[in-house]
Amino acid sequence: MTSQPQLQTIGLSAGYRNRRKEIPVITDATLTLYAGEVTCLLGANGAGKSTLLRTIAGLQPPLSGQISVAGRPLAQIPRKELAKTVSAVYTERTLAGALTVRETVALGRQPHTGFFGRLSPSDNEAVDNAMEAVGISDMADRFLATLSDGERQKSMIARAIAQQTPIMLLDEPTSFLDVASRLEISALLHRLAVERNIAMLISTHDIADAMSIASRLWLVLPEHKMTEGTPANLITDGQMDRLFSNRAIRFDPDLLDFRLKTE
Amino acid sequence: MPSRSPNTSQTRHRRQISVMWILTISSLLLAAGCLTTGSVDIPLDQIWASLSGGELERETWRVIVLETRLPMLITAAVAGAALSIAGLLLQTSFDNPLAGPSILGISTGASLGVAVVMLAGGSLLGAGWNQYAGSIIGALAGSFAVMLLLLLFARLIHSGVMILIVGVLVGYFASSAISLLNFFATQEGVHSYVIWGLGNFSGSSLGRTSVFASLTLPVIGLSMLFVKPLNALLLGARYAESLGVGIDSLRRRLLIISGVLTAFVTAFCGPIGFIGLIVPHIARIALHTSNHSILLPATALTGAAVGLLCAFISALPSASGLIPINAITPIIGVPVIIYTILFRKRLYYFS
Repeated sequence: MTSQPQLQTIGLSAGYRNRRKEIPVITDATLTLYAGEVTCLLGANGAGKSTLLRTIAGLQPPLSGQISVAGRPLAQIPRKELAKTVSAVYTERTLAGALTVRETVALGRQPHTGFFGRLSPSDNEAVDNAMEAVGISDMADRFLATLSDGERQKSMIARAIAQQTPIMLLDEPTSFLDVASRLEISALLHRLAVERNIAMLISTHDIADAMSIASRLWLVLPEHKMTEGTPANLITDGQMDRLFSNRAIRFDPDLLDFRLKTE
Repeated sequence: MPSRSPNTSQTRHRRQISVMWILTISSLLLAAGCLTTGSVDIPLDQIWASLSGGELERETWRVIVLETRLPMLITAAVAGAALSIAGLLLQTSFDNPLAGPSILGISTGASLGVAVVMLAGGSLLGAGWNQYAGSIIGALAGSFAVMLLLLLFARLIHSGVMILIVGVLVGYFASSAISLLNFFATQEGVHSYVIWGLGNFSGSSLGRTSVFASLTLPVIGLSMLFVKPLNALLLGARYAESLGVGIDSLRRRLLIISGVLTAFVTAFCGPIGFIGLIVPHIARIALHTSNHSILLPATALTGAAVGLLCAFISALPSASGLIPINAITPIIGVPVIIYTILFRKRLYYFS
């Protein structure tokens, strides 16, 4: 199966704009996100991963360049329609403690429901299906506040699945989880991307994990540059070493992870 | 990690329905209590006769029931509901369990507006309907001024707690302006302002009460249209945005609705504290949910019940007149707030 590009950026600069000047965080990025694949976004802290995600999600206008979703310029897609195209999972703790898991997952149907958000039978089916896919059906009636971090994150992923968007963006979805939940959720995300033909972009600090689930990598390099490619190509081209070029670590191709420079 | 027996959706639903019934019945009982309590003893059958237009032993009883007690209970129920809805919208909007119309300075802003009208403009407007309309406009202007300030600060400050503190400070600022106005005002002006400031549901005739209710109820109805985006907002601003909610315009609208509700109540009843802050908590605790499709109507109903309860208590010492409402609301409110803070882990919402 050849993958189809779902999202493309051409010469994208992302960053902040204040009254006087533009503060670019990422410049001239040309990137592609394919359907049915996990793409991992790697970069040092503060390199601009979250800014890039926000920009691609349409929550922040790009400084320059183009973003197109299924061939259509992102800026021309109305907010409501965008919510049917791109879903997101963040790490932030939410305040929805007294919502049940099912109510939370059902919020993912909002872009599809009417003015009062009433769920149709097909909406309910999508909610059940999303909880099933993530393996949280047995927690449907529990309050969000009673869940462990991993369970809560699964609920938020199920919510994004219920949104039924061709593109899913996840900002460090496993960063506060223990190793068991981390591996479980990574495997789950990979499976969902493949089974449901979702173009999935995951920003992460877990290099080994990224190497095991990603078909492609987007790297945020020093000086606001970006590059993309398959893990194998990026390793042979020596691009992985540029990720932390000014730090005391180097990429070890056998370990598929970084290690301290020992000299 | 708090553990509780899993709460199946059916038992929860049944519980919610019974809570709504209990609230409705207690509201009706309290309304009946308000009709039968007061400085004049009126036999029950005579109260019924005054309401239904029957023959009365004394015509003054009809005046007392229709022009004093009935307006008081309607004002209490509507004001209670309005303040509670305002509180809920502010709490969800600012992601903060301690947000409320009085805490954020909106009530005080409205009071300042009324003070300007009563103290500085009083002699120009005279008494009666003119001053009445003036108070409403003053209250709206005052609460909008504070809301504008809050919106401005919300652009600069992203922490909900800091916004709350700014709201408290703005409230102090408005209070000080009120004190200054009082200092320079006439004796009668100050007297009537002080009485108004104690808060009461009983200052209005049936005519004024119908104006109050017909202004306020449509705005309460309007809030019910925001159930869907309010629920999205429970997940935080970023998630709400990714669900297609225009977060800035939503927050603006919610703030305007809360401000208008607060301004109407303040103009008619004085600055009533605590109700807006506590009632959403009572409703969440009673109904076990943050889902606004249930919580919003439940908050309105609970607010009406609490308003009626305050009105009923204020009328209890029948011989010596009415207790000011603001002497009663903290007695109900403070325990609820302390309970909420102490047991917030067990109450889930705002965890």
